[in-house]
Amino acid sequence: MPANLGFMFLLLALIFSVYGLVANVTAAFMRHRRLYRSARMAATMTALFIILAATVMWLSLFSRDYSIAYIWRNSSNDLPAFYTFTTFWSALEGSHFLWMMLLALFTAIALWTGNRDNEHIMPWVGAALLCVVSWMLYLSVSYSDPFVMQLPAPPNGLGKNPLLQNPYMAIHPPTLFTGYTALAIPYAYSIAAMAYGDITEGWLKTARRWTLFAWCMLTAGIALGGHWAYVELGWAGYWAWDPVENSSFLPWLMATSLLHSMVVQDKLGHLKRSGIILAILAFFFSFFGTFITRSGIITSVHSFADGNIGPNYLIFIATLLVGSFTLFAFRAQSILPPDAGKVWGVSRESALVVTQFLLLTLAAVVFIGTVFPIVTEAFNGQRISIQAPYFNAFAPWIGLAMIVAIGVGNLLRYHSGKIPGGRGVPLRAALAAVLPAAAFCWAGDVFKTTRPWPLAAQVVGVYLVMVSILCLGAEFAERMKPFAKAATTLPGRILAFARRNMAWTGAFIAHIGFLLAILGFLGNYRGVDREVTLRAGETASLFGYDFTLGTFRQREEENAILFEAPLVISRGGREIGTVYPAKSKYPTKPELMNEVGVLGGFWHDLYAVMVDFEKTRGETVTLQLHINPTVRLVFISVVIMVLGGLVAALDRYRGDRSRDVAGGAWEQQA
Amino acid sequence: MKQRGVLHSISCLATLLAALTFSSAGGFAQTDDFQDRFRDVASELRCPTCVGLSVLESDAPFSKQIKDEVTAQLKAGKSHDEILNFFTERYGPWILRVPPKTGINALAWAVPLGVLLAGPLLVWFFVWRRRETWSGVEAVKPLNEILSELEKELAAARAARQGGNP
Repeated sequence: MPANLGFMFLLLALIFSVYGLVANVTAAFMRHRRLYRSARMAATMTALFIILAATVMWLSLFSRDYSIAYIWRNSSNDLPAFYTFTTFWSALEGSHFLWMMLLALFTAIALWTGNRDNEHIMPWVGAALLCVVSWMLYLSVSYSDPFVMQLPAPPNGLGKNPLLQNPYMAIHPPTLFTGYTALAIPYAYSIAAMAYGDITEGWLKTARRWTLFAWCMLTAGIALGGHWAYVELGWAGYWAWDPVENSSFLPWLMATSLLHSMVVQDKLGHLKRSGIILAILAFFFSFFGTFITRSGIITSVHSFADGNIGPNYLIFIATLLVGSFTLFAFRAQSILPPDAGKVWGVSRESALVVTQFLLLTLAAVVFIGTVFPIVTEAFNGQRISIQAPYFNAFAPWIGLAMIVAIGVGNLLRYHSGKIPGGRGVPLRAALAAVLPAAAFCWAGDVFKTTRPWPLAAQVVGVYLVMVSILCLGAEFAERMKPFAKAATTLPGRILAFARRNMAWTGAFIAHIGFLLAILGFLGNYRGVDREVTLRAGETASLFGYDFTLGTFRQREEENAILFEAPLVISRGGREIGTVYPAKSKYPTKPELMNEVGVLGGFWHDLYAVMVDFEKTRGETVTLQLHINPTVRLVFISVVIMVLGGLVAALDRYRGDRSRDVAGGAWEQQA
Repeated sequence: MKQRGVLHSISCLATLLAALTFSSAGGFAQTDDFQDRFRDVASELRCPTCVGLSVLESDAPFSKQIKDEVTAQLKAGKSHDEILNFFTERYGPWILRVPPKTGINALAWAVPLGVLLAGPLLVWFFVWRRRETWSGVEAVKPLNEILSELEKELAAARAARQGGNP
């Protein structure tokens, strides 16, 4: 029985992980090297057995073994191979399984690839990671068992949720979980640093690289989820500030804040303890998100009590938080900055602190907005909603402050309020930005918006973004100066500079990406839409575009039947493309799903949703037509941000002894 | 001071730009008054059966009924607030997409606002003011200075020892 085999593998993994945990702690206290090596072997075996269990699950999925209840509930005979593969993580037990597998895998990788400088704290790193792994394994053999059987096996499954049969949704969960899981490594290093009593050589190099990797994955994962919502849900947006999205955004905010804290730690040796707090919080929030979305607590506190996994999660994350901060309270005193008499003042390090403040404030808003309804309902029984308008009341202001902080902060230097190019740099940027801002507003049809308030917010925002981009450009030019003779051609010089300053270049790219994302968000203020009912051959107009309905038709695609209405789009009499908004019917589900038709341009997407169609002969079709400005810009900018993060992660020098001593001056030399 | 100068000029320019756009926006604006009022109301009511969407963005049957009711009440001449009150009385404050600003729910508004206002004060207190706090404390010497002093002492001690025992 494959199910029994899989369950046995999970049990074996649990035994190995508990042994590894005990051995790591013992090795740490006894400073016993060989015991640590045995514990590392146990961690490797844990990962191996979980992977074996996962292989059993995948093989059972492909052999359509409906004696496993999970497979019966989430797949069916008609499912294409790709989505059969992704069914692995399409429900609660499976996504817990995937997360656990990634965590065990990264635990093994982190223990084997640990820097030699960190060897003395590795037992603690292993202990912290295996503690989490064994708890997850315990859940997966008790309350979240993916191999629960049901006999006799039914001939067909109940089918997969059609919403999840989308390529973006197929890769969104693994990407996001990779990010969550990678956040465990800086967390484990923080615990290890506290247990050992100090942050040591090489600590930052490893922790920083894992945090950057996590950050890239979280960024990509959130964007993939947003893109899925955009093309699959059919409400013409990609971000609704709903609890599920918010709970993936919180670890991202913490990880971003942690990265900014690590920059100061790298250059000046300050903010070590705040970095530890942020690493704890980042990891905590990655689990908090799962707790809040999977325990049923979000729908109502009353549905929370029904499941067993919810209270278990609560106990775990409470223990995680209380335990980590108790350790912090007792052990953090010994982790000190190199100089107690640091004067902050107006400087780059202060700008980095301000950035963290802004990120954490946004996190506080998101956290309150997500948790507040649950808390008040538990106390006074009255239900309230907190949705997008609440978050939109705060987020844009924080966003504007971030834009300014990026522009000004990047111009400043450590230990100094002086801007290398002089005060004229930001002033000239402020003047010069008028032109690109005006060009952007004009070219992007911004002025066609109908309301004064979003227009004002948008124009101010676009202008500030342009100022910051110019400031970043000026900073780049300033830093390029020493490289004037590095190569004969400009691209050669830039390459020479980038290779010497991978971390800075990565940050530069990521910041540009972030600013472009804000430009994109600003554009989303002013979509226009219209609902029309058309017959074949009829035309509707919106925003200068003509949408002509073609012949309604029915066709099969993979396991779905599509009822689609080709919509020919033209502008000024010239045809520019055809989209196919449709309703789809999946064999195992009664309801009709939306298939959105999107024709994307740089400035705006033309987005068509089929609301309804005349069911007997398909004579009339009701469509919702949207013009969504600058959506594409948001997704492009996310790619740029991830690219920047990856470039920064490739920096070879970060965290080396030589750099710790050299402080901030070193980057200037060619 | 410098920071203030920069920010000041930025905000001046932004205001100027915004003023310019306002004056030109009039020509482009095609205001459909009823449609706008409908959107204002519909975007403040939650779709009862969805996650995170307003009735405006949703085509669920429940949302459609609410939208029809909003349209009917707007046509009957009811104001924005009157319609929202009508729905609040019928479904409770849950139907609104933001919590009411009264009672315990006011906390949801006060806390972020407090953080946003108190934050700059805290940063000023802990970051800028540190200058005065720490001015009385003697700065710790850089490590290389301590090391070179120790080396000097060591060399002196060695020299003394060699001098004592030839």
